[in-house]
Amino acid sequence: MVGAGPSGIAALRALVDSSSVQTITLVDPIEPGFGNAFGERCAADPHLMCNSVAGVTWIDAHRDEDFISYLVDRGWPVLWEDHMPRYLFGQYCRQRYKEACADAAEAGIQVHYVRGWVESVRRSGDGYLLTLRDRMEPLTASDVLLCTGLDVPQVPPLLKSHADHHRLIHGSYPASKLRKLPSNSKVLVIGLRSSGQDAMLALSHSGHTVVMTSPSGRLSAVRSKIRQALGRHLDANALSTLNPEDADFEEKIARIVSDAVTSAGDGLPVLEQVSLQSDQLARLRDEVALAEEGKARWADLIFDTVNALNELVSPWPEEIRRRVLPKGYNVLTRYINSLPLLYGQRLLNSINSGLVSVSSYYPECVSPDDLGWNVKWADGREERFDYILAATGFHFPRFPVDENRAIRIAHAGDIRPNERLPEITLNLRLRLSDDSEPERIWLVGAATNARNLFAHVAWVSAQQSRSIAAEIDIAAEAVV
Amino acid sequence: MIGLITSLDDAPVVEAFVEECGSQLVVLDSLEAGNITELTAVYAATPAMVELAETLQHKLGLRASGAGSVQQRTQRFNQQCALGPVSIPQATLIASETGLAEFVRAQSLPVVVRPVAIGDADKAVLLRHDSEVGSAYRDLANISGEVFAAPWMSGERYSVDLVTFAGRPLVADMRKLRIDEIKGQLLLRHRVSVHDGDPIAESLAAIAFRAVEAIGIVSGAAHVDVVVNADRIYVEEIVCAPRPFHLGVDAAFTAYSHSFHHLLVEALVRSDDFDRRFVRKPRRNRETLACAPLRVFSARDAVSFAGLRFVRRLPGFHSFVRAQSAGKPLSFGSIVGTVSFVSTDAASIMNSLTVLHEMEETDVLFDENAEIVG
Repeated sequence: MVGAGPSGIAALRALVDSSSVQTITLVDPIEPGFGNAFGERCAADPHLMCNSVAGVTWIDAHRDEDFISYLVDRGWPVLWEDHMPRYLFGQYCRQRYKEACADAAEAGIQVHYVRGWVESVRRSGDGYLLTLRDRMEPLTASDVLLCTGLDVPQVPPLLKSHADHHRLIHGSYPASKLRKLPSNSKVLVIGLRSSGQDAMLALSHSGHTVVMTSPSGRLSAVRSKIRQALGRHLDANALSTLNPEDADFEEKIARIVSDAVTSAGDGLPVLEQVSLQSDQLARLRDEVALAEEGKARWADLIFDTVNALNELVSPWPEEIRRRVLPKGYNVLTRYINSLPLLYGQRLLNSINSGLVSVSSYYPECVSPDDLGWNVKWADGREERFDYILAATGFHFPRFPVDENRAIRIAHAGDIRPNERLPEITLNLRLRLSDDSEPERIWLVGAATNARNLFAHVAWVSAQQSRSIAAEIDIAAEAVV
Repeated sequence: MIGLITSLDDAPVVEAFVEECGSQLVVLDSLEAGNITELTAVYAATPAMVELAETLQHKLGLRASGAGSVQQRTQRFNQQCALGPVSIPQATLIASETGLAEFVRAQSLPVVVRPVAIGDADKAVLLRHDSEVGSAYRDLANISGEVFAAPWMSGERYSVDLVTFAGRPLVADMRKLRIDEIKGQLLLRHRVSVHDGDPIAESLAAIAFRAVEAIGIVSGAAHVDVVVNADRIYVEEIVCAPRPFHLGVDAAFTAYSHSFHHLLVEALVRSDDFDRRFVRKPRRNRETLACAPLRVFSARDAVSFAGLRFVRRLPGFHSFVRAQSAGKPLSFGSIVGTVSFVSTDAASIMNSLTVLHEMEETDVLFDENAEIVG
């Protein structure tokens, strides 16, 4: 198993519960369980919250509400609809890792952990050789699970030529690095989604002035608390029959979603649940107010929508996915990745305090010097900043193959000219060429992002893990 | 009758002495206090009292520490001189603001400035530019205008806690330290146990033994602070009495089945038992023990401590020992108490410590309105 963060532990749990596995080796530079996103680097600041509610957060698909169960065991007063501090999810995964190891030992399964980075995977005889950084001896395995997550921050195109500048901050984590900036710094944060929000929070708490912007200029929506209302509103059957080649596809999908939103709102029309203001600040105010009044009931659809869309979209050929998905992706992510109300309120409070503003424009160009940056905005204004922070999220994992069929553990921002991306099959295996059988290499979690929507969400990894473990079992039985 | 010299009523070692000695113990806070003629032994309960304890021992004709002057055990510069090859290079005494500015300019590394004498609650200020010298000098200079200054050596920092009896030192505890520079001050954030099997443990013990011999400790406590970097190992300081951290000694018992403080008292009042420990040495393998002084970093005085409920739910949490009474206003850098963690899962402890420090720095611990659940 390459990667032992939450998706890796989800896979470990599923493998330990399966019957055919004898030995499992986890390789990760970070101690198993925490991962990058939920470990000390990205999640230690207690103000940073999980974006999913506790009730739909788990890494074991056989144990719904498993995260809640962990929290209750640790004495937390918690409800299904609560957003908990992010560090708790890392600690939960660590605890489940230890339990999986204990269960494995009881079942006679050996679990080893190797601290390190796997650089590449290559077929060798009936199995695979895994090459590790700074280690001469490769590891061997009959089956490989790639469970790598998000750890390399993206650099927006605007900043690529200045990527090494000492006043460019790469990524929002750890939050402590932002608190250590010189007092009263003025920071341009590029990115309005989760990373940008986290950066805004850490910077404004420390008294720094923040201007936020992004190419889209769109803030995420703000949602009411999600209620325990799974599977009631979205007509998943109707959705599953849709054909992306149908001329009315977009209209049909819009109608299904609209009906579901109205149903979630107990008849409250869509337009009374959302704000369509074009001004981002006015829209944020509207949406915070709607969420406070409990009117943003579309939030109840998030869980079902991710599941239903993955059911719908995953089987589509890659060409169709590439053509159709971008049409709705921006709207979809605005709501699926919406802000919990507390985050929305914090953002609004920071704006009202004067420490934070959201620019309606995106910079046309930036030029650094030793003491900071000159930023020229699209409306012609020029503004001076002490730092620019690239908070446009992380690169998703990718597994490019070279001419020698070596599979490199890489990310979307690091594909070399001599490499190509292999197909990810419907059952999440890598196939190196059209005429070859799928490898005994499975992908889990964020690693499946090229195939699955919102692949980094914990419950998606948990579902994938169970399917993969079952498939490995069947394959092993066939060999026997 | 045993005399224990302390200026701090709540020094943690006092409790261990009281447990062992009961009515045979008299706690003193000055040379004149107590019925001196009845004393059969005198010990310092805190670093600031080492000089007084040794003076009393001399006056009463009791066994004092061995060769080497009291100054080597109480004065930083004398101690560094006695340490010879393992001392911090360039460490010096400086008697003026101008002299300190020149020293800072001359060094390629940041300079740490401390009081001349080793005390109970020492400040340490890190200087990178001569422009920062003024306030540090005024804050730390003694009445003759002296400060102790030395280059701040980079590297991993450890504390080796020794109990010495009849010239034989025993390792009671060994911890890796995290020390952060916050607003120019060097502040201890936590201490995490080093297990016996750790590759560094043997060399740390060896250098600590040499250090206590060099400054002539025959009997009693010694905390030897060591810096390990790629080039070599340095002894930064030896504190010759129990440090006045508000430690949870029971956390140490949970982790190791012994505590530094109880081993020290055992050495001083039940030496036959302590002698046995040289045959079967105390071990530190079962669990990982970490202690973190909780500090106030908010801009305002902290009164509430509502965030303690979050701390108590961190994995590995063992106990909290309060150093300040509830409701008392606390200013920047003050220590509220000490949190201890014990677990076989060292990775979880390190995670808990990181989260704990974030809670300190983001004011979650001291803000009764802090919301971390949405």
